[in-house]
Amino acid sequence: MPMKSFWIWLSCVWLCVACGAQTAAPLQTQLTLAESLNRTDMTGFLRADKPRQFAFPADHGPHDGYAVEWWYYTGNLRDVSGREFGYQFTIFRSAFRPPTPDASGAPQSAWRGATAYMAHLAVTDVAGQQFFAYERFDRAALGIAGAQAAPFKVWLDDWHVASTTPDAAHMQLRAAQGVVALDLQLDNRMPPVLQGNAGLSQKSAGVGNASYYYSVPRMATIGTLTIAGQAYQVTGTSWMDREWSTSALAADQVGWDWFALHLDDGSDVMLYHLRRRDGSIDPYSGGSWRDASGSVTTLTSADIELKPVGEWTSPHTGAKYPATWQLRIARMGLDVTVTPLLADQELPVTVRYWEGAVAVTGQRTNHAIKGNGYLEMTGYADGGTRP
Amino acid sequence: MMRVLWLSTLRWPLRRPWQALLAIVGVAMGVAVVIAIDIANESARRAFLLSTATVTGLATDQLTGGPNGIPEDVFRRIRVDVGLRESAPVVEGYATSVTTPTHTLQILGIDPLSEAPFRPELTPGNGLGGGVAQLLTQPDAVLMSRGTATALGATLGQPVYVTIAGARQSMVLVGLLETNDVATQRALDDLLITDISVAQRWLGKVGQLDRIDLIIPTDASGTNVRTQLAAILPPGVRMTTPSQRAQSTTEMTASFEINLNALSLLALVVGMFLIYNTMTFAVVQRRPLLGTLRCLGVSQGEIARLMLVEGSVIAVLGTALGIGLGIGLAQLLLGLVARTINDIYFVVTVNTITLTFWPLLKGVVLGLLASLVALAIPTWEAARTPPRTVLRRSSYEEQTRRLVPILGWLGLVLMLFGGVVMWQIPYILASYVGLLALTLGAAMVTPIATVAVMALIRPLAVRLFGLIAGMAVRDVVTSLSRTAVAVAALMIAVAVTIAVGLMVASFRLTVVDWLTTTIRADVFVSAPAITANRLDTPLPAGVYEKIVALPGIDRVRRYRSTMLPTDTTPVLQIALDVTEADHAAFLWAEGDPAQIWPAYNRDAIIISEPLSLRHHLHVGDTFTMRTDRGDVAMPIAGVFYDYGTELGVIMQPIERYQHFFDDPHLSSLGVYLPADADSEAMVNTIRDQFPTTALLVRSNRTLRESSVAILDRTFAITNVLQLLATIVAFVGIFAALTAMQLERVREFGMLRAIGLDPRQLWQLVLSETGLMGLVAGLVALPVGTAMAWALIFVINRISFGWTLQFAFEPHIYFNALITAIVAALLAGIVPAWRIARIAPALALREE
Repeated sequence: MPMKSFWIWLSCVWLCVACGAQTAAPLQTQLTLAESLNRTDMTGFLRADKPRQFAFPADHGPHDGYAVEWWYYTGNLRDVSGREFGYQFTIFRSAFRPPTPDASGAPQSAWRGATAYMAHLAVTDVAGQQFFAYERFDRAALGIAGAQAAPFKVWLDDWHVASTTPDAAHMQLRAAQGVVALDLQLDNRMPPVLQGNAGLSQKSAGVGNASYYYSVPRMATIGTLTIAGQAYQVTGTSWMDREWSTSALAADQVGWDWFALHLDDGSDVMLYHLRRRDGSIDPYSGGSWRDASGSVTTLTSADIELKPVGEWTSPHTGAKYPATWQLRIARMGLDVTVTPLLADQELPVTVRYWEGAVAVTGQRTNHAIKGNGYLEMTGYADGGTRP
Repeated sequence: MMRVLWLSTLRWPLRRPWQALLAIVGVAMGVAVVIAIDIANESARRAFLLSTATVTGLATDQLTGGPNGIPEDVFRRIRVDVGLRESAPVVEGYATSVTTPTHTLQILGIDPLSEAPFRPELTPGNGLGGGVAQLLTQPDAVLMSRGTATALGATLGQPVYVTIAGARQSMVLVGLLETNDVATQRALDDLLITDISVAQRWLGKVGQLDRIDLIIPTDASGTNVRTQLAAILPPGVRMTTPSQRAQSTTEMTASFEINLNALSLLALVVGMFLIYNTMTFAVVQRRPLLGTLRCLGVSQGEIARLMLVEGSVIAVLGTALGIGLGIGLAQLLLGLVARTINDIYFVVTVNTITLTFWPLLKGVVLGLLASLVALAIPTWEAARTPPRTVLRRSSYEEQTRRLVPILGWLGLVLMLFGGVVMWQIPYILASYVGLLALTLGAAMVTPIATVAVMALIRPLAVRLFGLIAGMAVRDVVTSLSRTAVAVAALMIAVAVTIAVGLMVASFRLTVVDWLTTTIRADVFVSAPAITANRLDTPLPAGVYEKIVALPGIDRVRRYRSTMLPTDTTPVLQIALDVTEADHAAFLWAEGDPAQIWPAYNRDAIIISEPLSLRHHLHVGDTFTMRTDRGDVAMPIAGVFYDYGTELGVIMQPIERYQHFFDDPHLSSLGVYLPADADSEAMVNTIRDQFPTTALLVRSNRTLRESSVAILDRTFAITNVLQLLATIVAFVGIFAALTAMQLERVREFGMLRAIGLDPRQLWQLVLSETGLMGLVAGLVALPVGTAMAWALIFVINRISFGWTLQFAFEPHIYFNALITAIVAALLAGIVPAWRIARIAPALALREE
């Protein structure tokens, strides 16, 4: 459940709107997540309030009636020499207002839409101890940013993910900025995993405080990753998360920790951990387990035992992140340590968060097990540290 | 010894505070006029460049389109196909304050999400703080500076109204643009930042962008980007750099500035005469003292040093005062300069002057140098002359009289030289030199003219007014050393008045004639525009169709005028319907109408006279037009007289224009009515057809009147300069005459002693000054005419490219003569009053 920094960004925008013009100072850094979410006006948007029938590839496309939506790709790659890389590529859609048809008949500006897109691109070079991250904003106008179902494509400027087959089993991901460039082919042979209750993922109490959420956890990946002119031919595994909703978090939820792990026995594990202001873990936390055969088990917060065992202090923000985690899922016999492949994978973007490639080592039912994946930790750098 | 000398020098001005003060004021006025014009011009230019720089931000390159801007899909292709992230779309326009219609505001429509690399000061908080988010989400939201908000009476969150294209538009202030940098703050004033969608809607530019700002790296990747851009750009879209763009805009005012400079040059000449006059007088008066000092053994060098130090003190004080005055004056002139630029060139919002180094340096150099040069001649003369001779004043007068004819001949030669230079060398600098030579030559001729005029009128004066008049006539001649420069200064000032008056009259006559010939339709319909002289706002869609369908109309002519970029300054493009009935509205400078029209209807264009002169284009040449279909070379069929813009005009049939440009808009309509129809009634009929549309519907007469009003407005600054030159000359003549007459207190005392009563003294003094005014006025008549000739046929033609008719206006001459005499008489009043009041005995004891 990558709740993602998008919530924060989005709620800032909304807050600016909602609280009126008197606050002329930049606001982003002054808000707690919950404060901002409390203020948002959801009137007119659809809500994720009941289970729905998913259809693919149609649901890869946008769901404009909902306020927010994202396409989230993370992956662990290595080149022929074994050099390890990680990448994150995310495109967020946000509607400032519900879609309203215009009946005036006057010529309308193509720019007037109330939908914006945000994208993050991050690349981790483990051996080179380098981390690169970029952020872009665009509005959904003229086709400079947008999403479509058939053929599937989501893009922001020249950053895009597009399917090359009608069933969207095969996707091409291209994005470049600064010194990094990604040109990857993603392949999926298994049905998506519907998270939560058949794809309805409850995030806090109250009908509609939920999202529609599915994942494509294991996409075989091949392509080229370029850093500073040096092109690496890479292969590996990518994870796609898709989620759309209108409101989700409760006032006392200050952040989350999200895990997307590929284990070498063929299992794929997704976990999220909603943290409350008092430091406790919200019971709406949860996850899913898909084994190599494709059978999926939904995990509740009672199934998951997550314990921070290390701490990393960001030299950029001073924020303290639980850098290493002890993860136990007794129900699955799993006891592993999740360790960042690189300590500093904090994204220097509008709202800072930590998201990076991780290694998994430990045991499952008395057998050694290894794996890799992605970890996201939010709410540590901004509002989360405030009382 | 030296100390005693310094004391004696110090004593002189202390005993005559009036003279010292007048000398300082004289220098100050000369300096003030010259720097004021410079500062006003420079401030307008800087304000334009600064606001351009602010709205351009950090862009390295800009894409601009044809008359209808850039199709906005080009932006998508830049982002998605080329992948140039550092690109920002811009839609620009202007609004005016509802309460103060002269207060112009620039609308800058931006995409806040593209802005961060370009204009950080316009989108604080990394693109989303400070109200920027509301730009995206709140309808009609704007950002502006605190100063602008105050001026418009806008408060945060509240609606405020402005006028856009004649219609009231409400907007909501959602945030203030703040910066700690004073210069940037000034550039942010009068700027309305809004979302691009809002700007497109307000300005009727839906679907188009005015420009796309780009940041292209200078390395190899940049070269690659340029290649890719070149591949996707449609033919009508061009890539320029911001500096090229700003430059070609500021160059539009070059002619205007040249003209102002020509006038300020004349003010400078008057100012220099004033300074020269003041300084000469200070030396001449002191000849007896200097002679005494020489007799006491003071060396020539010491005398020279003494005079130079004293002159320097006056020069420094006068220059300092002049710079202060000039800055104040510049503030007054700035409004006039800005209004003229807004009326006929482009929109510039400037309320305060900007002080820059060069105008001030020019003022300092002028004040000090002119004073010292003016001082050097008499000082050198005084130091050189043997003490015995110096003591005798008559020696100096004799010497002056000997010089008069030589000076006259030299002056004549100089005038001839000036005339030939202007006639033969068609460059603006040569024209300046010629004009200067003409003016100086005329000044040099003035003393001999004075002698001649006095000789002529003396018998008459004696016969008519008696002895006193005769005395006055003779006094004018005998005190030439003191009066000559003052009279010359007054003469030049009056000549400038005549020249400028004739130039304005000629211009007016020509333009009014031209308007009568070319403005033929009975009713004109256009959209309200910010630049008064230009139809830069398209008519709303459907207006043409509705008017054509009205009953009681013969026909409707369509006009579309746009600015067409060229490699240098832009050119005005007019596309229009021309039928046979319209042929008489054109006056041809080049080409045969029998051949022009068939060619025009086939594939040729016609161009205006200024374009022909500026770009050396003639019938048979081709003009390469940048169209939306690429560059098209069009043959030139004829050159017509046009006084609308010195930038040059090209005309083509509207069908051809619409073929080459993706621009279906019209700028104005000319409605022709049957012979007996009431055009005022039709104006109302048309207005009634469009109750909610902002339309300018004017009858032939109203349009002609408003055109002339704009013309007159552009001459407002000319009139102010003319007035200033006269004031400078008046101060000069006042200072000179006051000093001269006061110096003669002893002589007057003698006259009183031998029986002249105070009334006769009044008569004598006033007759003398009046005669000097008369001479100045008389000499000014031909000199002014010659200067007018230079301005009208040389300077105007070179800088604007216009052929003007010469308007001979007797009242201008008459007024000038009266001005000269009245100014001189006024200058005589104070001395006459003081002299008549002094008791003869006291006057005789003066020394």
